[in-house]
Amino acid sequence: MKTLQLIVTSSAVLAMSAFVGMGVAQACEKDHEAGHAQTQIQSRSPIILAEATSHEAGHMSHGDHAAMAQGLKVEKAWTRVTPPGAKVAGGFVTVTNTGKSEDRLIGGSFDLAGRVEVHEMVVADGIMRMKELAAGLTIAPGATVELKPGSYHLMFLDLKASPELGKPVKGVLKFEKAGDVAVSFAVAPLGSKTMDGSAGKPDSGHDMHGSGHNH
Amino acid sequence: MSQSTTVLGRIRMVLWGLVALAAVVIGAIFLGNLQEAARTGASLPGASRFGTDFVLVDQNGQKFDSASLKGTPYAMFFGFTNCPDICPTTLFEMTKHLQALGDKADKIKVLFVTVDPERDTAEHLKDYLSAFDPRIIGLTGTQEEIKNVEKGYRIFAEKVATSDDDYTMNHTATVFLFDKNGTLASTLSWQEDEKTRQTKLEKLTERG
Repeated sequence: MKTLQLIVTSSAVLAMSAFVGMGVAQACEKDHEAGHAQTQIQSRSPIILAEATSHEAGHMSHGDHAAMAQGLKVEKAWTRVTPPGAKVAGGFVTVTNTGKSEDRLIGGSFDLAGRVEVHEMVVADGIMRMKELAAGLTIAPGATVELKPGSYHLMFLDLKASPELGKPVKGVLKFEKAGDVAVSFAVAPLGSKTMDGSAGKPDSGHDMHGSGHNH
Repeated sequence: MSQSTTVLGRIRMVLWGLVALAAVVIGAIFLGNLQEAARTGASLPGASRFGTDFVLVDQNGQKFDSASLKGTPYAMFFGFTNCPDICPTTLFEMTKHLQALGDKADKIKVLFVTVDPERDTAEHLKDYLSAFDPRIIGLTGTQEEIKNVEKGYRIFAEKVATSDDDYTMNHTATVFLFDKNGTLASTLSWQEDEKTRQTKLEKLTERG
């Protein structure tokens, strides 16, 4: 009887350990699904937000004056040349809140795009994740927020044409309180990491020619 | 007494069933590992299982068989063309790296695999990739084919819904470097500086 008990106990332990192992193996997939479900829920709300703001826009005065009066400084608006056939582009801008109350960048428009969203991009553990900022991008009083490559950006969707080098494209930034601010996006070369196009000229690659060797 | 024996007997049967299941599961895992190790023929357990055989379609609509990579070091990365930032930038940087490598660039292959085969057809990839170094091979396939490659290379990729019933993709952005035996040799990261990446690619050509 003791032998039997031993066999039963040890087999139970073995079986349990096997199930734990299987559970771990499947954990990845489950996480994956859960993450997906969450992002779907989060990204539903902007639809309502976008509708609300488009109604408000009708009552607002356009142009820089409304925004400047409320203490926002908008500068360095730029985008870059996209590869042929690209349907999307990133837009970048620096916003400083010189006022005393918080404001939010909630959207905008771009002459060459069907629509514009405010996105956050993060690269962590080798994975690039992008999401639409449902509640907009907060600009706290006194803060300067830079939308730049590898970070926050305006997502230009349904591109009708690729921005051309050196031909600025008109657009509008939409803020929750300051309203619409007209901007002109400078166009930097393909692959630029900054507005002035540094690291954006294919020729700059030649600087590195032979790197890894000591001359 | 007879009743408790019956109950104990049933418990015993259930437990033995579990043991049998555990044995099958453990056996399958072992067998799978052995097969995989035998297939890739590498000695490093972690690195050897990284990657898989595949057949996809390149931007010219031609079949691309991973067998053609044998004996050639290659760089492989994943992305999609409806990507505003990291994908075109990585393609652009890879273009600069290949230019800087000069003739040595011919010793390696560079593969860009779409994680969005639904929108990235061969035709669209051809158009899109025309802005970059012509040596970059764009690959697409059916959803299932792409899923298998993602699984084999342990690539994370998921659709994320956005407004207007549209979607974007979250995905692994690392560039993986494989030696001529198809063994993972190194990686390039978006956060690294250009010089570091260039040195790694130089080394890869020398491993050829």
